[in-house]
Amino acid sequence: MFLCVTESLTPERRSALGADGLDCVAEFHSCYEEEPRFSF
Amino acid sequence: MTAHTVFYAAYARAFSSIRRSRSTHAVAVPGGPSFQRGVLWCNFEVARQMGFSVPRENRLSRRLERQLVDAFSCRAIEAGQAAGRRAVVTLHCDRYYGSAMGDHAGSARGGILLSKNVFLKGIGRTPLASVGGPRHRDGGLQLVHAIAEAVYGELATRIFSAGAARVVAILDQGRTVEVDGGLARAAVIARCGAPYRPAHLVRQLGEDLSDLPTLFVKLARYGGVLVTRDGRPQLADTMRRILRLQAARPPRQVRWRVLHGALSTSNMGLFGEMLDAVADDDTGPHCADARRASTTRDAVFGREHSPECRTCTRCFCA
Repeated sequence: MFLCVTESLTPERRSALGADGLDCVAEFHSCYEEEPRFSF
Repeated sequence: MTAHTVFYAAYARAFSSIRRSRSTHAVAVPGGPSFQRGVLWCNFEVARQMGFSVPRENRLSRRLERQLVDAFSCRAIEAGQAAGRRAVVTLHCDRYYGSAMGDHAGSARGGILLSKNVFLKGIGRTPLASVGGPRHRDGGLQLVHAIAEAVYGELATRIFSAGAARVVAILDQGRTVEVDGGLARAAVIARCGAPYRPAHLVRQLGEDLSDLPTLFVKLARYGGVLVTRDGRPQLADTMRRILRLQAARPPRQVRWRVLHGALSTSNMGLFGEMLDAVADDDTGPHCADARRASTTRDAVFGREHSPECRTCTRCFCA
């Protein structure tokens, strides 16, 4: 989803909108590791 | 104009639908008992909030039933079909893309009624319907799925902080739907809440994506998760907030022993809401059965949830 959102942006525009440096999959899994600690 | 109206006006496809007049005639359903056309179930709490005339003692009066049927009992007009003298309303069907959709281009059997902010499901094939799988081919919705969606919608609304789509009414139109070579009773549901899905922000390869950054910002602002710096939207930080909301869902599902058995980009709310909950499982009082998430045919998008579900299950069994 995030790739679709940012794909059409030029590198300059991507940088201006803070869209650089997000590894969605890695961050998604890190959220998974944290979430059970909050939930249980 | 609400954000919701703007979204559907810009990103959905409008099509016409016939609003049926109320009928009190019993209709013979092949292979089953007679059914009365009208309202099979009503969510009095939500209906009251929407302005319907719900009696104080929460019962389905003739007046309320007529109001609900007049508002929500629609059939999609297919190509070559004439509306005749019946009232025609315009619905908007969501255009989206993602996993487990078959060849449909979005909502294949439902559309939103903007005047009520309600999604009508099971009304027949929409212009976004293609050949599709067996469950979505003819635009019908099994009655048992309609009931499940109503029950699990209420359950999820009460136990998940992210909320869920809720069914306002289940309507009978005297129809059946083909299921596994046989006929099952069909119904139409009117559903409200959780209008945006991750799939709204996913397009097929080669499609124009230039409107998606603006749409993402618009939806994030609507959901209250938009991060800005010096007045500029920050897409990655905003996405992190959305990721956290989405990641919070599976452990909480395991915690409450209610799993979504068919997660996909279009079967969940953008902000982690429960949506299309017909495949939800109440997993029993003592053991959250995480296997369901990995064995369901449609669990393509949801497979990444499975390892964590198993981790959560170990917490329960400890």
